[in-house]
Amino acid sequence: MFIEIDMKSDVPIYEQLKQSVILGIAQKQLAPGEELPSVRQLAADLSVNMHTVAKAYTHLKDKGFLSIHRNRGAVVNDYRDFAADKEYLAALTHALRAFAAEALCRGVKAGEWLGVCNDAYEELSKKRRM
Amino acid sequence: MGVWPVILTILICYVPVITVFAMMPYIGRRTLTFGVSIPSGQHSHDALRSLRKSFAVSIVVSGLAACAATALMFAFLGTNLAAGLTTALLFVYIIAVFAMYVRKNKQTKQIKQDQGWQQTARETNVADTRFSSAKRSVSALWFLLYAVVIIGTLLAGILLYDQIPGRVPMQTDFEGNVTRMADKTYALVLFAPALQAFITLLFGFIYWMMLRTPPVIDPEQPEASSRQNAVFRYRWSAFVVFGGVLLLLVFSCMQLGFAQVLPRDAALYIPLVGAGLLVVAAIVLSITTGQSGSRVRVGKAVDGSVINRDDDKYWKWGSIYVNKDDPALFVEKRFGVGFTLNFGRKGAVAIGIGFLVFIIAVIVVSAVLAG
Repeated sequence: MFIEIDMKSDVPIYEQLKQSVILGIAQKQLAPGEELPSVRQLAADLSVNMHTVAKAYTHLKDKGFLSIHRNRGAVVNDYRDFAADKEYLAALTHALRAFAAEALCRGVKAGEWLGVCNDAYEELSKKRRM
Repeated sequence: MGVWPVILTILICYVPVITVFAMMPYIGRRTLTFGVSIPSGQHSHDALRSLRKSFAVSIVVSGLAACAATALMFAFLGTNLAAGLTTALLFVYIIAVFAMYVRKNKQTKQIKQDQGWQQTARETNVADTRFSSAKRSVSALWFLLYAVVIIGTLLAGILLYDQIPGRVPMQTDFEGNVTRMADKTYALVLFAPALQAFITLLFGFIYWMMLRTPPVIDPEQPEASSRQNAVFRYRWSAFVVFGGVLLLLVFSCMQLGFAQVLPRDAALYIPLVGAGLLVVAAIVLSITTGQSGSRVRVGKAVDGSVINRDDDKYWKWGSIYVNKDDPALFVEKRFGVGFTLNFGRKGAVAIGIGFLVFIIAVIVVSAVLAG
């Protein structure tokens, strides 16, 4: 899969990296057991600092998406390793509250809100089935 | 003196050099012109086309002028002095070409500014997580063949030692007269294997460097450009590995020439033929593959309207890469075909210095062994 980084974006590079790996797994462009390039390699390929890549990999490991092996580098975990648990659902609720708050302020109705959420979810899950 | 040495010199020195320089603007990536990032859709913009054309014309005209100067030197100065001056003139020509390039680089930047292309510029970097599993080099096991050739050459030198005459020719001038002889010693049979070992180290290094250089992936068409990058590396790795074997065999012939197994004429022409083959192969490969595989056809080329990866600021004079934040030691060149160092990294600077030391060591060792 291709990881694309916008060097001029306000979103930190490690965050962009994290998001694109999760997106890759969601769309099944990255399969469980697949190896990702080493920190050094990916940093060189993207022309970014090695610490940036290491930080993204560590975050992904903490979330259960990756395992870091001494000799194999980073490997995508099995789906059950990062299946949603109570902790994740609590974090999701918390994160959505911020978006819901802004939507409320801007007068987005409940139906519209659900529609937007559904569209985003469906768009990715369609690609997953392909 | 005859006219043939002159024509031969001009052909050997100038034709490949002029050809390589003149075609350089035409074999690069479509997102670059004279080392300046541009939208790929603007690659055929009239202003850029005329810049490319005027560069190629200047290269050919100044190259032909240097050819003419060489011919005059051979006519009036005697062959050996003229040969020396030709080397110097070639050096001057290469510097002049670099100056022309820097000028075109500046003019391209001006066009980019006038057209407002940099306003749309993004800095998007793309990595292919599966690139290292793509087929992108011939097997490193081929280097075993190098060991076989070196050991064979050494053995040939030892076994045929009695056949080597008391003095052997080491250097000839352009007319085929021997200008330097060497005494028969045991060091003499080490000369060819030692140079072969140096060549092996050098080519092994280039092979390793090619594998380590990150691919340049165009965000506009990531799949196609990843494929092109893999093909580019695969073909050049084959060139390096088999070109190196060819060079090694040239030195094996030299060893056999010492022992008078090969006729003297053959010993004289084999290096020329070997070098000629390598140069022609490199030119053909450059034209068919292009830098980063940009001339390898993989689907339809996309005409991008924006600059997806504008990193001009890291390229001094459009040719020297200095980026402290980039961990890559090696990167693909901006102009022409090949790789260069990231001088923003200490490791790369050390490799650059080590390379110079290596070349000097080769010259010293070969001078010592050849007496």
